[in-house]
Amino acid sequence: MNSPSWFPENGRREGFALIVVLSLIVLLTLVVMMFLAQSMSARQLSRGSLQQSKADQLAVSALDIVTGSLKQEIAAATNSTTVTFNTGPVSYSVYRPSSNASILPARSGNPAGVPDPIPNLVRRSWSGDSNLPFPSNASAVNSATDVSYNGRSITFARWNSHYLIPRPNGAADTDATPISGSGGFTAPDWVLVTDTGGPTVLASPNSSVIGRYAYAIYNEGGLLDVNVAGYPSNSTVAEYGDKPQLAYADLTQIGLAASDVDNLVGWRNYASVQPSGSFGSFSITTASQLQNFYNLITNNVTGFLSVNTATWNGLTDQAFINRQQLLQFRLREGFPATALQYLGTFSRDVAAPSWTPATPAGSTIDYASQKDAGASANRDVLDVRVTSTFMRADGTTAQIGEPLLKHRFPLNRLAGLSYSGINTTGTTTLLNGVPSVASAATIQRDFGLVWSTDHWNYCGPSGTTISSSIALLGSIGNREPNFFELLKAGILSGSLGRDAGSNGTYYVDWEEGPASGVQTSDQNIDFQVIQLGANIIDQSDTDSYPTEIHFADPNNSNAETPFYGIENLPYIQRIFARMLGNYTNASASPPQTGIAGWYMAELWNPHQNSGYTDTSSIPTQFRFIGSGPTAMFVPGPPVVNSTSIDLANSGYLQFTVNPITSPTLYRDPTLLTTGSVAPAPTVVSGTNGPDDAYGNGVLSGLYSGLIVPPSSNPSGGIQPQGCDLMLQYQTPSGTWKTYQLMKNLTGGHDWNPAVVNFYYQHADPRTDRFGTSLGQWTFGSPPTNPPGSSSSPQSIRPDTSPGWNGYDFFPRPSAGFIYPISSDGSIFDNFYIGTESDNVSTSNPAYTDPDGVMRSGEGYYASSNAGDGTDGRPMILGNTGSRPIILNRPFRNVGELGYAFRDDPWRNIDFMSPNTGDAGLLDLFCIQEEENTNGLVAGSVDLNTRQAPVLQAILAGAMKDETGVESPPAVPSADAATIANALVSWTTSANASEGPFLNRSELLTKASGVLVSGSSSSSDQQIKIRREAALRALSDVSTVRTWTLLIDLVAQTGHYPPGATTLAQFVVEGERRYWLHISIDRFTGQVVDRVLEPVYE
Amino acid sequence: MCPPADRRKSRERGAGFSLVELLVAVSVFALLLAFTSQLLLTASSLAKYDSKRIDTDTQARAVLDRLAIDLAQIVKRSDVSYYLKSSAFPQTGNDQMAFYSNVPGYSGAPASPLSLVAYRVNPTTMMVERLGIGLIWNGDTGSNAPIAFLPQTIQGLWPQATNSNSDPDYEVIGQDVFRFEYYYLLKGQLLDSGSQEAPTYSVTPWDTRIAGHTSVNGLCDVAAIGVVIAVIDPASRNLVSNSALSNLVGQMNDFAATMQPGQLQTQWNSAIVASNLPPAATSAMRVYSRLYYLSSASP
Repeated sequence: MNSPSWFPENGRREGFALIVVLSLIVLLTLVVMMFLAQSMSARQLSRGSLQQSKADQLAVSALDIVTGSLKQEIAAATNSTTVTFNTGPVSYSVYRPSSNASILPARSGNPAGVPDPIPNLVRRSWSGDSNLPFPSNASAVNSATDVSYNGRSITFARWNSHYLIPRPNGAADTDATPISGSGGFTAPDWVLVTDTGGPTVLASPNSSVIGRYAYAIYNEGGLLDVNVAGYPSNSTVAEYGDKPQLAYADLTQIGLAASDVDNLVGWRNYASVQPSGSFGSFSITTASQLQNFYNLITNNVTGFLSVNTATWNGLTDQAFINRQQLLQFRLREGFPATALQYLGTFSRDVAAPSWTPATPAGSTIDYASQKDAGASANRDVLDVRVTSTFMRADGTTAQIGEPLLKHRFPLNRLAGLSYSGINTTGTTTLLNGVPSVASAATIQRDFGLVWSTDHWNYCGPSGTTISSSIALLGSIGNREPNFFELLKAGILSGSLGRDAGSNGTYYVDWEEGPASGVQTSDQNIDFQVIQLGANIIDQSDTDSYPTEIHFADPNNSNAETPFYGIENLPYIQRIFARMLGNYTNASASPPQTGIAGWYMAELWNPHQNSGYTDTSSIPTQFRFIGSGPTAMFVPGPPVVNSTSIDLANSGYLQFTVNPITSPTLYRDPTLLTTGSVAPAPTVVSGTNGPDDAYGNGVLSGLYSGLIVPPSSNPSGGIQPQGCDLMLQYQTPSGTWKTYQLMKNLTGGHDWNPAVVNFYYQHADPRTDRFGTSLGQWTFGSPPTNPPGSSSSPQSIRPDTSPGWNGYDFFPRPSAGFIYPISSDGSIFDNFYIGTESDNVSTSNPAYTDPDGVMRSGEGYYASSNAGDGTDGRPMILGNTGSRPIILNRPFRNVGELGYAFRDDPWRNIDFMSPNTGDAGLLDLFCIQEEENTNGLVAGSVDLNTRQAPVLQAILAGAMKDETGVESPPAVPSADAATIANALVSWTTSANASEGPFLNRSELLTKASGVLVSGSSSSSDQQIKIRREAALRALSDVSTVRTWTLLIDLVAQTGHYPPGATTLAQFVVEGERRYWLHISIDRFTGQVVDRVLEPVYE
Repeated sequence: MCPPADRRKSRERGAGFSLVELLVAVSVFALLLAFTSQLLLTASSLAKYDSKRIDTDTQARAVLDRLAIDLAQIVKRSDVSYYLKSSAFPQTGNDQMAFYSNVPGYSGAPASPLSLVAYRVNPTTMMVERLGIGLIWNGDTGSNAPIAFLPQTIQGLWPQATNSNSDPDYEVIGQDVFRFEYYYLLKGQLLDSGSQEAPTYSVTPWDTRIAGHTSVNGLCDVAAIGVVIAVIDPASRNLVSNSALSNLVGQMNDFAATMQPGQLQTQWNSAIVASNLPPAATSAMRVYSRLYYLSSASP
């Protein structure tokens, strides 16, 4: 073929063509290379960004998967009994743990050992966890030891960069490498994620793998929330001892120096406390600084979910935003890194009760099976639901079907009540979610009380008609239950309403019954709840005037019946029937001579001399007075009765008691008579006759009349015919109020008035429950001696001669009262009615409650040994340290309800023994109002934590004795450590009778002995107020309701290259790590809060 | 005229081309040159176009990635202050935002892990600036301040984070980003009443459909923050004055509660095209958006 004519030919032509072609090739190559280079660059950028984004998405998805598995674990039939409520617009499910173990997330991949080598670790992704109901689906490729194809692995130190795993002893603070070996940390395995099946267990590489993740879950709820815990090192036991909040956990117990704690508090609570110095050298030493801190903690209404709003020097308080900030803080402040394993930055608790009644051993009432019965007083509170919408105090609308109890009842609302009406000082309640001063409306909403002139009426939720009953929880669906209703709901009904049998009749048989007709009122459970409520109110208020609440008596035509709260005042212990023969009543017309009788009062304030914080509100003027029919009689034959007279016409004895100037007056039983007490009472005789028997100021009492006996039968006696013997105090306005009465006294007794007289006695001076029983007293010669310990030792107390009761007027055996039995089958004479305070079924009087359970009195744990034998028994003369306490200040923890008198003889609310009927109160009440927290609070510690030092920090310094009578006043560190370790041992035990707690109440019902296991002195175990010290410390800062976890998760995107033969040969392209702080309600399965913390390393 | 044989001889002798040959060769070369030049011009134009796009992409990525880091670690607490637009506090034109974040920042003293972060478009320079103040530990002695919780506000303590004044702590992170707008994607929430509120876009960082929700409250109602920016490439920027850009910004709508995010971008593109700016400049303007999901606090 010929070339075109214009084309060069031969070599010249070929050279030209070559140049042109080469030029074009070069040009094209350059263009292509530029394009490729640019594309590659862009691709790299895009790919890097994409992989990071993919890693982020993978991590978030993985966290959702892990969270989902936790929620499924809660809902699993093997772990929970599920009840679903569909009555309202929203379906609500309750997942009751089916066993104690299932209250906690299952553990997996942990090293074995006791104590737990890695207490915080709940589980990790692990290829061997197929035993779990919801396994991690991890494959057998380890995140630390199986290095990836491109050399990536998560080192052990990285896995412990949060310092939640213990490190070897002596490790440098900067070295996070955890403990290793058989009891050490094993890194999580990778969970492989495929593009088709999500998390998939693979045995060999697969091209469908698009990423992997590994995680470890830690129990952050079992740690001390450093945003709350820690108090100034110079705080006093009066401040930290009551452990009102987690703030008063002692961080020196976990390794911080006092200066470290001050630096922490100074930084965290800077504006509130106003510390001296600057960051790193804060000091908090002045009284005002310490008070600032105390006020900050005790006045907190935000559940510690937000910092206080104070400002100082233009700065505010602080909070740790996340754990990485805490780690940075430690680096800067310098406290030991070891302490980090006990500290968290996130804690959440659902501040709602979840109590359900359990059936005590020996109970004739199966509370557990009746927990959902509408007529049951003690309900599973999670199953009590809203039946119609209403506005809650927190401002939210209660929807049909949701739990009726969204919050625990805050005891701070008690401050809205006073003996003189509504206390409008300060905000003491919530109204539509806003802290408010108490008003008539809020008081009736919160307490069902309506103020009427000079007392409170219990009227229920509305109206002004005095109620004759307290509503059952199950009957309330359209409002929040009030204080009294919750008391009734939280106390086992069969532990209330104990009576001593019907009224006794002299000399009928050996089973007499009490000498006063109180059976009906004693049996009224609502009466006891009202009385208990009044007692709680008077523990909490600062005055010493009894709170007066009127309630209608359904067994007496709804008669208005007053109840007075127990205060630190004298009460009638005994009424002595004082008779004189050949007595001439010169004031009678004409004068009469015969057997005359008087009622003389023995008074006793059985409380410790403490708690008079408001010294201007203490009643100091009192009267012993009577009313109702009384007479004298000769038993015959022939029987002779004097004319009945009204004791109201027998005048009164007015006396003064000022506990400030006379602190010991009436602190032990003391006869109120002119000759034996100073200042002596003023005797004001009535028209019946003289109240001063001799007119010489020696013996004085209320005149009961005179009878002239026949000469053939000179004996005779007083015959009360239903009269009341009363104590009154004078109000600031001058009104006399009857705050105690020995009610409806009946049943006379005759003895030779020249030798032996008798007395009516209360088993406990503070209550008329069980009525009065009879004892005798012998006065010596001359007969003018007043009865007392020297000449008349018989009493209720075992430290004297037996309070002989004969066969007359004592609680009936047929009513379940147990007495020593003599060899002839009759009741043994030598017993002490006061030892009902022990209520031990041995050689002393004891009784079972209506549900058949014998419950402990205050002296139950008293030792029978000499010396310590008195510890715990409040009735022993001079045994001040074992006596009850009236706080006269607001409660600082729920456990302090244990100070309140239960209106059973020598029995306060029982937070010390396993057979208590009161444990539910621990879950139904709290201390402080929560504002806008949506039912959440921070600063609670998992009661089932495996970190003994955490519990030790809470327990150390817990107040044992408010008054300091017994020493030491607070729990020493060593004791706290022992108790904490015992608690952890209990909750981690696999024994059937032990294991994790399902509720705070199980601290008592199951492990009350553990709480005193570390007591270094016997009195700590024997005296109730000391025995409850650990319980009080834990009562408001512990929870079992939520799983508060830290999920440490690392996600990597990438793939397996062709030819990969092992699972380790994964090509990592992107990585993301998160610490998810999450709190899940164990009882609803709902995630109640979560904070996602990206980890940048 | 020479016979062919002569011409051949003559050429061989003269070692040259005839005029025709030269003309043909030159023509062909010219054609080739023209073709190649056109190819190169086209390639250059494409490269310049891509370069502009890459430049704007880079600018956008720098700003949006920085925002991603800052927002990923934003402090979400009900007791801290935010400076964010809302129905109660609307922002017209370019938006500003300021918040605390767990990221490093400039500090005159050993700093805590927290910083105050603010974004704005400087109205003078029409550039996106970022403020990152490293916060010291509370009570520490240093030139900066620590994080302040409510009632202290960002606006009160760091006014420069909330105004347009010149401040040396700001640094330019998007010199060619002249429009900055953001909005919120509110969560779908199951209300107590049982009704399900659908997710929705909003100009207010709380869900006004829920009673009692009247403040930012730790962004508890916000699932994500969407950011839309407009960028001009650096070369084209020389064609447009800042005042002209400012005028254009005025033509670019703010996000409205009735909008879907795509609508805003469409409107912005329309505004750019409709502007009287040189086509060379408008053709180099691009609109980017990204949605930043915030870690959920209270599902």
